[in-house]
Amino acid sequence: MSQAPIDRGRWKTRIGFILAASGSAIGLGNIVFFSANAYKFGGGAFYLPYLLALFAIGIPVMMLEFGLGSKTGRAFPEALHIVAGKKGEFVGWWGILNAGFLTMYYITILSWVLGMLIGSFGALWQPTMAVPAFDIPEGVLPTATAYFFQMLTTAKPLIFVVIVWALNVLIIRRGVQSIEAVTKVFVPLMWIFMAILIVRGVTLPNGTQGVYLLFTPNFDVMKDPAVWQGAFSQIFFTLSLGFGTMVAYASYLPKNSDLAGNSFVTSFLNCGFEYLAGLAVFSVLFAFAIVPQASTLSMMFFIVPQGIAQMPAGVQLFGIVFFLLLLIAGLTSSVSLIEGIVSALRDKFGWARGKTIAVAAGIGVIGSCMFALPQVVDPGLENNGTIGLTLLDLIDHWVFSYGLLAIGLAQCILVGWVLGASKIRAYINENSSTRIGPWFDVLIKFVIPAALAFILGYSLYNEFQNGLYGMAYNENYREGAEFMRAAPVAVLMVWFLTSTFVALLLTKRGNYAQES
Amino acid sequence: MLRKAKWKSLFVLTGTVACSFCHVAMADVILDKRYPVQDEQTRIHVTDSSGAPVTGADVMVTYRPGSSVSREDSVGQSGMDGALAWTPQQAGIATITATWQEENETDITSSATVSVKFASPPFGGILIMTVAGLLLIVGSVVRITKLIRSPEVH
Repeated sequence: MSQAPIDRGRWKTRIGFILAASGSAIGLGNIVFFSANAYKFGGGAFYLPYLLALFAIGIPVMMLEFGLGSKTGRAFPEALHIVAGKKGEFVGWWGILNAGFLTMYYITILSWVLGMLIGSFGALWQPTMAVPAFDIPEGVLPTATAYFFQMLTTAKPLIFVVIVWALNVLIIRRGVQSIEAVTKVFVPLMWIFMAILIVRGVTLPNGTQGVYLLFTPNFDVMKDPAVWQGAFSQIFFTLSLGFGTMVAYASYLPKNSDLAGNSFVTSFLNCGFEYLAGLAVFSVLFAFAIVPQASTLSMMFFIVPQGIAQMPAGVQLFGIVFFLLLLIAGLTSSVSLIEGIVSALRDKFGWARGKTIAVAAGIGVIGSCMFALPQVVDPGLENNGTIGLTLLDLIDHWVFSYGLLAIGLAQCILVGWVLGASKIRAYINENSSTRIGPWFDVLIKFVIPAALAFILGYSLYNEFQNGLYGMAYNENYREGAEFMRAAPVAVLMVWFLTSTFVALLLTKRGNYAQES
Repeated sequence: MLRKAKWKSLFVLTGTVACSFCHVAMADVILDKRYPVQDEQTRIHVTDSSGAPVTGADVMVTYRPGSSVSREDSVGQSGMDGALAWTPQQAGIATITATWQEENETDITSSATVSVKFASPPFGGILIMTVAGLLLIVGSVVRITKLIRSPEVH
């Protein structure tokens, strides 16, 4: 089967591309996870491995992905097919399928954000709240936590999932044209909302002390491999690398683009936003003596709202601003994930845009609803409470800790060794304002694969030491929910087998238009 | 189950929930100052559920709880007035935990989280904040300015 080349569209302006790419990179994790990670790993000391990772891994891989997308003018699987044939294409599809799993649960999380945003107009800020589904009386949990778990046990998130998917479809319906138009509004809004939160945070009593806490280093941690693993992974995830999204976005760039310049701007904007978010979050946490947790969901739904609830004035306003910021940041990231999938399918099968979006969204809505299933399986709340949250936790572990890093590793090997790092560098240098030297080849061929292999190896080592992820939950399921004991193995199998066999199927099926 | 925090977990729900359940205990740990200062002495007061001072409670402090640089120190035992002196060794967030036995030999634990102020602005922290800020924020501004001035469309 071969298809005629499709009309893929082009970014209208460079600033449009930069805003869309930075909007893709700046997501939920940037707002709350980075600073909590820094707190966990020695405050200011974490910035040293983080900045090293930014320059040694983040920016070079960003350049690679922009170069790959721009050079081939194709989404991830076909771009890698052009580089390394069917094997490359298989890697590309494996990455796209992992991005598919990620999109499904990311949109579920966004549906919870939407629920919390609605709650922040009133119910979220009441003094106490019970969680009847878990038999938790009033006053036991902070209200935000109680509200979140109560919401999870209702069908509301299922409706919110459909709404969030509809918003995504609306944004990507005309491809880069509509994505560019929306991100030109959303991304500046994110910066404005963040500025409001920073001003509020640092003007709280002793808010600036929280900033000192975030940056004051404790260098004892530097000998702990977990800190380096944390920093390297953080950079990889925060820049949306290994998802295929940056390749897809860059495939809509004209050939004369300043790829090195674009990589620097996108990376700096993303990391700058993280830096500023840390100021806002830590000033609030210090002012109200709240312990941060190195978890995106805990920070978003429990910890930061707990701080906002204690503000002397404007609780509702700042709560709305916070959750609106999360929703907008999440949407600009989720549209890039979906666009990566849609463009990959269109390149392969030559489908019309509407049909491709319908297929992707149809499957996506079903998947996202699975992660929003409200049945309570752990009434003691010793694990994750509901079926949906437990499944989400399990799949997130495999997709994030292994899937995306494995794709990043394979991508560096394919481009670095099969295509040749020097060739992609020469292409990037053709129109770039900043010339990149041979150091790029060394990083792509040796340093980054070694770093990613170390992280993957360290994660696997911990997996063997601690047992299969999720098995420890099994003691806590309620009577009648024993079937959930199969979930850790089942989710692992579904993730691995689906990614592998569907990737094989897609690779074997048909040829690209260029080949024919 | 209090599972080990993942390096990149989306969820560390259990910690929050477990801690929140601890708050069921109505006993209290109160400090003289809302924001104690590093290296400056303050007093901790331990009271039971009826608000009466608790004598002989073991008081521990955990500096920077939940982080890989977390450190636990013993503060001592509360005196006849239910109070004891504490000089915070580290600035930042700290959790103070008091444990004692009631007459029926039930163990009671009560805790409070406080923010300990820096005695003076920390040089290392300000330096890292400035360097990282210059690199990331100024780096963004410079690059964007260059982009806007560039004749190239993309």
